[in-house]
Amino acid sequence: MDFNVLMFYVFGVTAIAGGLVLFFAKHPIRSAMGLLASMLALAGMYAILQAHAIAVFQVIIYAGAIMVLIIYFIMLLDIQSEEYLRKYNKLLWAGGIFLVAILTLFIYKLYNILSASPDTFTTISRSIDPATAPEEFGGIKPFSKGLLTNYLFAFEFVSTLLFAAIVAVISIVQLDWKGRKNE
Amino acid sequence: MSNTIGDFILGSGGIFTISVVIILFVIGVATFMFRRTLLHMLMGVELMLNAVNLNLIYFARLHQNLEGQMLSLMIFVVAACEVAVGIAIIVNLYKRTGTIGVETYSEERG
Repeated sequence: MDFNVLMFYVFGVTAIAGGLVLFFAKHPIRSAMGLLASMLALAGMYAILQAHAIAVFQVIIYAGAIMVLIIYFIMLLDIQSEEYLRKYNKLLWAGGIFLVAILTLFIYKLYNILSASPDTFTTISRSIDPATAPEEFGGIKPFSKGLLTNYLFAFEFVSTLLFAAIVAVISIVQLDWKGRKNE
Repeated sequence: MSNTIGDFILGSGGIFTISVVIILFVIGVATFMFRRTLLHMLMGVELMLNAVNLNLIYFARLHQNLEGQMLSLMIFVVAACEVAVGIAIIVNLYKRTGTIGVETYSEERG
């Protein structure tokens, strides 16, 4: 078996295991570690799928910035209350039915597509010969070139979204200051 | 890139990747619905976004089209904004009520 293929399976199983840790762990910091493992494994899968730039961003932005923010938040609040010992909602059974329903829907859709044409994944891109992707596909050079030419509007638009988020966070924090002044 | 990984992506790798995406997304939905703290709900949303990213990147590789990768970069930014605003709101709620359990909020309503 090719090393890349083997690592692809390993990363996929690790990602699912991390997700399960996120769901089942009792303490929030263990859940955060599970999510972190899941994200790092997904970064490996991205790299094998030739999305090198996205894999680097996954490690820097997700596993770096966002997870540091979440873990810092857990440390800040120092959550050790009794109420977290009971982990799940009272409506577990109702949600369980819904969950099984959407899982069945997803699997049914996938099965439907595959049974209609079993070679979906081979015929879908026969015209562009996907088995031999060009070496530079998804590298930082074509990625950044595309980002600043074809996708420039999305790039600028998303920077507007970031600006709006900064304003929103500042306004939320200031609301709290005013509230405390009034007390 | 060698031929073996390309053949794999076309063959059994597709079904494996889509299965990973489905399982991760459903775990994310379950975490969002069943865990009782706002923090776990936030992390469940992150897991769902990650699953969608994997889907986009797999099909970007399959079609050799950069659009999927661009869209996943935009999802990164949306996730960063969501975490920043969400954590600001959660810290405020924690200061007011002293807890981040969601059931407490529904009991204290009104």
